[in-house]
Amino acid sequence: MRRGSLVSRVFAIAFLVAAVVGASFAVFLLAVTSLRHAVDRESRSKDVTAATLGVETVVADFETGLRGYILTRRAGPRAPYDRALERWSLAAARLHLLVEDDPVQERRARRLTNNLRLYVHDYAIPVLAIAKLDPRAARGEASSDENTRRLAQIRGTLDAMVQTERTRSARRAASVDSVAQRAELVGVVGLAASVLLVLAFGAWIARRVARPVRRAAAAAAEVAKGDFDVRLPELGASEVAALATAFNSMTRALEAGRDTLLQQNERLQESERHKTDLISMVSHELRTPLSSVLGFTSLLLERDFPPAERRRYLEIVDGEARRLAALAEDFLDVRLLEEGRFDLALEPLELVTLVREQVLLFFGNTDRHRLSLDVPHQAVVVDGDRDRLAQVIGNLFSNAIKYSPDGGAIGVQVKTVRDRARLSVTDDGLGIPREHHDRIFERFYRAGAAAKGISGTGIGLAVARDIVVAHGGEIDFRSVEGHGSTFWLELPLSPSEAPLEQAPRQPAQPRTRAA
Amino acid sequence: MPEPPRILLVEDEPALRELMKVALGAGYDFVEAGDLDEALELVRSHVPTVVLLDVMLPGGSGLDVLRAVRAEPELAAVRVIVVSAWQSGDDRRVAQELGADGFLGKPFELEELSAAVRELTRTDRES
Repeated sequence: MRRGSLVSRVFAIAFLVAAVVGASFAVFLLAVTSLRHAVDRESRSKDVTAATLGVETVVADFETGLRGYILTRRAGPRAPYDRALERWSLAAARLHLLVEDDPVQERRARRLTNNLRLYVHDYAIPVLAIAKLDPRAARGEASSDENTRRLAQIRGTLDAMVQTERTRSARRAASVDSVAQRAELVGVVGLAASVLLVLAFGAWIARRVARPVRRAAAAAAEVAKGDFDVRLPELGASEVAALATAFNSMTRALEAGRDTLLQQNERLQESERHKTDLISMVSHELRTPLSSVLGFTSLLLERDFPPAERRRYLEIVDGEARRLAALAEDFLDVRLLEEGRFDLALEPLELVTLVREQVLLFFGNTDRHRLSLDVPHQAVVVDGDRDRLAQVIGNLFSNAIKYSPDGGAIGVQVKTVRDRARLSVTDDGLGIPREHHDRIFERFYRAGAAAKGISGTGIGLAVARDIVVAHGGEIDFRSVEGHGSTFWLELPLSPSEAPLEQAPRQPAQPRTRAA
Repeated sequence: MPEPPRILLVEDEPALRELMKVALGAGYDFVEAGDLDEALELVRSHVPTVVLLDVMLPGGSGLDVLRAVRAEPELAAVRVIVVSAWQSGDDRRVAQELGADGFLGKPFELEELSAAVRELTRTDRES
């Protein structure tokens, strides 16, 4: 793809147009000059013809004056002779001067001048002198052959000169005609070429500039209407291509910006939906224990029960009130999460003991689920916040129970993997549909559990992940819909305890100070 | 002496089932279900006079029980009181549309509960 600059092309074409116009004008000017030259020559031809006439007149005056004097011997008829005598040399000189740059005519002019001089000195003047003495003898002399020959010679030369000028004039007129025709042709052709070139130039500009600009304007209007898919072809002159490239990158940026905004909006709307869901969820979660608390309280206030029953009801009230308190804690956790502050009270604690405590709490009075507990005999010590870790473990247990509503097996396993403690909780319950996997740790995200009649706030796992991450650990899961889930977490072993833990597995290094 | 009216308590919280039993007193024959499948099974096998029906149940929505009652001719006489923690109005509206005989929101007054059950069981005896 060749991409010349538009500016350089415009200059090149403008230069071409100027050259064509200039050349036509130069040819035209040349034609006009030669025409003027021809006109000059033509007028000089006329001068030459006039000068030959002047010479002929002089000769005629000589003849007329001489004859008149010979016949009358009076001064009156002799006047032409006197006039001619005064003028002949001047007339000859003028003719000579006019043709001095023309060799043929100049030779004739010289011959003419000589003949004229011979005629005046050898014939006219002597004949006049004879006529004064003897008119008869002068008459004979005037009509002699010699004189007749001389006059014929002079007239012949004059005729030749006039004839030559006439021929030349005719030739010149023809050449002037052809020059004029040629000039006309060049002028017309040059003008036509210039007009065509200018038109082509205009069309080219229109195609290369106006059309892309119009296309860009149309595309900009499309963009203004909100269609960011518009693209311009990045072709043509470099400026036009640069415009198209800039335009395209603008629309691409707009498109990307719009998509980002749409996505953000989508996310915001979703988060808003989650909040709404949460509010009704909270109200639901609070109402169930509240029903027990209020109901049993009013029973106890209104009726008398035997002490054993009384105590049982109070225990229920106590338990449900604690559930409410725990819910309040959960929501507090959400606030802490949102504000990004978790205060952990870290201490070395034994994970297996903690797991056992939570197992008792959660599986103590369920007979729907079969629990298998797989824990090591050695202590597994991590640095952790006792209450927070208990909360995380309790959350995994309560999820395992909640999401296997038909009962089934629940496996709890603790082991050490290199320098980490690993706890996994496996159920064979509902499992998590594939499409929810990415978002299961999001706050308020419940993976459609509400529709299955499973209560909850969508807070537990979000808080659990934050707690585990704050401990330098990680939490994850794998799950197949309909086949249950395994959630596991790993925490770093307490550094002071880790070597003790690993020591028995390395008998090559005997321990001298075993406890 | 006539048979005491049979009440089916559908509620996944054992504490609430116990509360309802104590509050309603000894004049009834109680049957209890803790999830949806159990509730559907018991309503068909025992054909109770009144069902106290929680909506959010393990296994699905309690309203399915109401639908079954209204769809099956053998259960035509069964009266259903929906007891829901959802106060948004949706459950109440849906319950009414499905033909529930009563609706109680959690937390409910024990007096309300007793009165509603008494009303339905007495009407039953008269008819």
